[in-house]
Amino acid sequence: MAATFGGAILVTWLALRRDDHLVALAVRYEQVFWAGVGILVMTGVGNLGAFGLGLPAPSTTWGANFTAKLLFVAALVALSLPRSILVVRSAAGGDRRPLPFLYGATVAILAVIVALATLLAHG
Amino acid sequence: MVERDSTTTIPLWWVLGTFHTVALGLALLLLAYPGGGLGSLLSSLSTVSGIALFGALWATTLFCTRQALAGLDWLSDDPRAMGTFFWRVLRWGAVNGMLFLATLIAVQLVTAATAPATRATFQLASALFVVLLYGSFGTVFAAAIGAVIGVTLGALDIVALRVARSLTRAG
Repeated sequence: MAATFGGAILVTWLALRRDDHLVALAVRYEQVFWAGVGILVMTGVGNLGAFGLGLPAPSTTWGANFTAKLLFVAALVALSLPRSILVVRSAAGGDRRPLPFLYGATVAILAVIVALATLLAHG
Repeated sequence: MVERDSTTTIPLWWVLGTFHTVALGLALLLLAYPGGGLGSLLSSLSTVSGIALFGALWATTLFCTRQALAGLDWLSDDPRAMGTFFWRVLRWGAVNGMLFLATLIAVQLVTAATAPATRATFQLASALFVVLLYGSFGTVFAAAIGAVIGVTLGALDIVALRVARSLTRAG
């Protein structure tokens, strides 16, 4: 989570500054991002396995927060595939103008996911 | 192909394969949790076997996605390339379904043979019966389900490609 969130903030900052190193760093970020998302979902499934029958019902506050977190992770994944494709095309000389918006949206969604994860862990 | 060098670009099979695995996992969670069936489904799964199953699905999906994209200029969005891509995701989706079923059976058998609660009653003959039963009928179902999921996720890949193209046109 630290790499995906911190990396997204760094790439957004470079994208807003129109830095020359943007595409090179974005390529690295995308490689790490997909590994991070895969590991987060994999360990999330493992953690749910530890709950078993003790998993709180969807009607509880915890359940509502958990459903919201799942939906935000789905939104993050849905946003990230076109973003990665754009980075691949940018690395081959394509248009990079949409990158600041896409990375900004990635940071915003990740911030909500971190907030929801904190809520789930502490109550 | 765009995949020239891992330091200057991103392996497309890595991005699409991980997207397929994560999207499938999230879809299953979002379908199972609101109905209240997730807890009972997960109660038969330990933390380690949950991680092992997801890891196995990830590995088989990456392998099958790589095969489906081999030699294909997917980013061109050329209609012929897209037609070829759909046939390949159908075929490799089916292969992925069968590979995952095989992994699922292997994990179940290893768990049954090693877990303290079931180790004493584990019999090789019944394990063989399970392998034959799931290996024959189960493979057909797994291939069909895998093919449907493969085509659905392939369609989502193409939607994402078109969204990316429209963003650069509008930008």
